[in-house]
Amino acid sequence: MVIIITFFPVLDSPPGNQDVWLALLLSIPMHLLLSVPIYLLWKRFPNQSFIEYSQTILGQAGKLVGLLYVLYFLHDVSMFLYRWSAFLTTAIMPETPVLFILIFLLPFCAYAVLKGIEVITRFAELFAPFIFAGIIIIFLLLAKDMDLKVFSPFLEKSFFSILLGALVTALRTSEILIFAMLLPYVTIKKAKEVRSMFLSTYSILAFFWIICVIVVLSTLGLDLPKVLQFSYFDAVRLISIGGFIERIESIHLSMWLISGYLRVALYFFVIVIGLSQVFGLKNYKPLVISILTILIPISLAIQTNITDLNQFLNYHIEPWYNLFFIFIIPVTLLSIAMIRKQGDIKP
Amino acid sequence: MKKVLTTIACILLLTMLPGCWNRRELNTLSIVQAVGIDRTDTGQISVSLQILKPNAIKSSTSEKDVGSKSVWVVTSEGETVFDALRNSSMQTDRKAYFPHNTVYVLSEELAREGIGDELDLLGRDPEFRKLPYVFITKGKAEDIIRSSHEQEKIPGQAIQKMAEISFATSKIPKINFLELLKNLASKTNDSIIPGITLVPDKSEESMKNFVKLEGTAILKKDKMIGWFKGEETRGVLWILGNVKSGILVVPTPNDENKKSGIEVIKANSRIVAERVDGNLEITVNVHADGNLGEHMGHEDLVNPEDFKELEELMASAIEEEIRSAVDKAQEWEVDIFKFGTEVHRQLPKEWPELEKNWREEFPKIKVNIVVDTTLHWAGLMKKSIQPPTKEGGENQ
Repeated sequence: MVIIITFFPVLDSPPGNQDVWLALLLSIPMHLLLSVPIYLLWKRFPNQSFIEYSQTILGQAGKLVGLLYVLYFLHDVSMFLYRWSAFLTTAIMPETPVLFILIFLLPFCAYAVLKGIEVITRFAELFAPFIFAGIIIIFLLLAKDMDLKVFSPFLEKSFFSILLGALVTALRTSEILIFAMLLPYVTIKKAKEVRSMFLSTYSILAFFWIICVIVVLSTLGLDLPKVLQFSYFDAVRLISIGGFIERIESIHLSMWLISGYLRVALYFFVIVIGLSQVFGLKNYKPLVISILTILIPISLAIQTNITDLNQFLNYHIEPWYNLFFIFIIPVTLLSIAMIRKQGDIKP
Repeated sequence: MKKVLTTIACILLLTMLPGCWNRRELNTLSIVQAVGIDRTDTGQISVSLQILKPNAIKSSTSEKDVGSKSVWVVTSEGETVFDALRNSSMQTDRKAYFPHNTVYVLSEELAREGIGDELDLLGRDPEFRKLPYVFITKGKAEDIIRSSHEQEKIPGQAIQKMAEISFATSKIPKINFLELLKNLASKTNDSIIPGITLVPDKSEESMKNFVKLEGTAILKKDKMIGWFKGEETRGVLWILGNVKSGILVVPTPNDENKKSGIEVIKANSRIVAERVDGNLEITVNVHADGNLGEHMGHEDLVNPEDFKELEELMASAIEEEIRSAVDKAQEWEVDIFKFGTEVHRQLPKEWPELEKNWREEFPKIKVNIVVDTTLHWAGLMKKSIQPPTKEGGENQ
């Protein structure tokens, strides 16, 4: 399955000091740790999505949990659109109204959602190599401007702060929950392959994330990225080889657009199926248009300004907000299921 | 019915295709090649833009009117840099467009009061790139922007190329905007910016002035505090490992009145920070490779002993340059050598304490200089062109 590919580097300012890459590497085990409850829940209910088994476990109260998650996804995707349009309007197209960007984006996502999960994954399968290749090409083109000395001294701060960094990084990926929603669509029923899928997903994610961090830190230094709003974009703009390979930020932009489209489509899909499962509808398709009409105004309404966005994305708020949904609720569900001995209990 | 709907949808989609919300065609843009920033007597910001005239460039290829200027300089004033830049659109019929800008010139007057505030816009606005070179001029930046150049049609590009070949002497640093931003963002580093000045044209028929790179402005944080001469600048560049080439003038062995020139072909540096008896000591290890490029005097230099002596002379010349730079920097309390970063890397445990008052610590550092040189080749001649004479060489 190609769910792996829905991940892409969220190009936000990297935190901390020169050991960030280590934190990213450690985010692989952190991700795995965070996925444990989801994985165990899936083993108990292999044919149900997160919202379905929360109803099996909690009964009517499960509907409430399901609704909460639908709202969470809705919020998450509008936050993503917020970030997306913040980037586009400040860096690329300052005079284009956000509404137009969304109008050009969302109906196409809705179309993909109508056609089902297979279309989305096939699309991902087709374009992920381009996205990965783009990141690697940018890395190679910037290689001559890099100063790898910035990564010393090694382990300057305590190991604990790096672990914390890894945890925060892992908590930024709300896609862990997308897994919980999509695992019933996985045709492979063998637990082993699901496990390796988790691992490879997180490794690929961490790998590309580290590449981006190396690019940013080794070209811009340690102090400047803390000041810059879109440091990866700034790093990409530095590419200048032989006076003619220049200004290739459009490559970066197209990568960003495609991966953003994928992510929005996937979240859209999850919202729609989640909602249909909460209300016990057999078919999710009638919901697509109505969610579309809700999504555009919501993502416009939450957009106020850049300081607001920076506040939310900073590591004091967003990861802990995600922690609640990614870890605490699944753990609670899992423990209830264990106490009530529900689902397939295999050794 | 469905077909009609699809057709309508297709037509609607077509309307989306032609493009962008705010597209700008080439003939609505003023392509800016160089930007100069001054402060006027009344405290306003004055900005000079060197704008490309595409028509003039095209016509002058036909050798018809070489004399016609291919750029147009517009100067405008405002409360802030942004304000001043926008005010320029009241003089130009097209909106200024900056991504092709190659050079920023700041006036010394402005730099002495601090450039951090003025440079904010250039880092913030996405239309400005971070690769143009930065210069400081003793006079007005506007004069530099208004100057013309014989070789290149666009003076801005000429200045850019001058910066790019500055490695030939290594007496001028090559600082682009990103480099400057990195130093400004750092807590301990201070910046160097190459100087640019005007020299009058010697030929009699014109009153023109030409630009020339000269000296290096030293900045304490964002405030300029003084100038380094060419050799002192090279001293800084030796430490930073940025010397790529350059001519070292040393006295000719056995002939004190004559000089020889050594061409540096490769150089690198390594900085070691350590505690010696409780004091912070920094050892600068420089290794330079060179060729004997010029030999004045009658002596036959191409023998092992004299080559050895030349190597030593070369080393002491380098050491002298570095020493003069270090002494001056310590006197001015500016860490232009990135010693702070190096100490941070090598003594990470002590760094938090040192960082707090690095400016007081910096002048107290004992700097040891170890220079190691290797001479390789001596060009196309084996011996001096003049045969040794009785006066020139007794030992023959």
